[in-house]
Amino acid sequence: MQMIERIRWTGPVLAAALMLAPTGLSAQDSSFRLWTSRDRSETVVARMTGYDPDQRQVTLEDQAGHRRTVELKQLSATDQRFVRRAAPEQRQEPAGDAVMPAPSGQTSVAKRDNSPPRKGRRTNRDTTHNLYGIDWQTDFDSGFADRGGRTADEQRPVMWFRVLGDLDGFM
Amino acid sequence: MRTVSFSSPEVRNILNRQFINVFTDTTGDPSAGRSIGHAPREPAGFCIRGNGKQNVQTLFLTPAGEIFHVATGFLSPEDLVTEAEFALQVYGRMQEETSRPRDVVVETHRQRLEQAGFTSDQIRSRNPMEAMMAGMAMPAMGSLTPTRSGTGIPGNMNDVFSGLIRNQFLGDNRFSMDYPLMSRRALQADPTRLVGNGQSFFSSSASGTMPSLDGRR
Repeated sequence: MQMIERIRWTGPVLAAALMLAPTGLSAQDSSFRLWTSRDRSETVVARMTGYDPDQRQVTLEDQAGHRRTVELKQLSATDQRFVRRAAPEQRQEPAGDAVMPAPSGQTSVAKRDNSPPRKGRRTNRDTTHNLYGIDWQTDFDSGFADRGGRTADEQRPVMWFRVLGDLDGFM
Repeated sequence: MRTVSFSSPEVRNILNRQFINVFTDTTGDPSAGRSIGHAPREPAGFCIRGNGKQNVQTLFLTPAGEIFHVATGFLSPEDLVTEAEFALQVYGRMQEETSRPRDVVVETHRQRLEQAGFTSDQIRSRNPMEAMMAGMAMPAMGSLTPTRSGTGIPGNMNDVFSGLIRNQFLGDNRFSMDYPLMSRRALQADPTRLVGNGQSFFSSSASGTMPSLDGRR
């Protein structure tokens, strides 16, 4: 067990690593891998033992068993994608409903079947609402203006669904 | 797609976690097709990949609004996840090779078409008939996505439609090669570069509201 390089994340590093429950990660997701800081100046071999979507903080455990919590935005884009893909669902799904974590960290609920959409379900962002279990930006321009590339965490690509008709009505 | 593909937990998972999702109603757009109006409660009808390309397009963009991948027409849940995963691969390489993002878009799509069995001549062809023949001559769609059904249609039906599906797959991926990182405003100004000048009519069930004679649906 050996660290490639001492991890020295330049942002706020919290000591509350153990507060994040390491549940829900698959064996593959929680295996050791090379993590790189956003500016590529630091690397460490560690495994992810927890992710707090509300605080956007990742808990890493190095091969010596030391745990550190880092902000998601301090990680490289590749590592950020890994975290988003591997992060466990934060809540159990009740029967019949799918609970999806919204990008904002809030939780929205949508029926799993083909039932009609719940109009007007909005998150804390005025331009976002949930239809068919997916969080949509309803205003393309304001969505980009609000979210496009402000922080590393917000630099997700965009899925643009162009469709004839209203998404929540006849089409 | 809204009641079939978006109801898939796998689709919801990848779209909510990995993308900012935006929808645009293209009603009134001269390039848009026509459709019987279907309410969300209506049962989904039979669709194959690519149905109604003028009616629905799924595009993947950078946060700056540059298009780096497209898929036109109906996508099954499996196909939508496949396209989203490919888009993430392309976007990941663009971030790793920041000095040449357009080249990355072209290269990744060329490689994808080659892996799907298209020859260099077919990929480069600008002759619509030649491109169509390239699609018709290819084996079944299964070779495009070995681990997925790709179309969601069974057995020999897959063979019947495979040529058309492959031709549309070729056209979609070549769009990204021909117009790497086209701005979404440019596409909105002239969607015909993606969907052509034809008109598709879509009806997915026996019910629904007939389109008006002068309307867009």
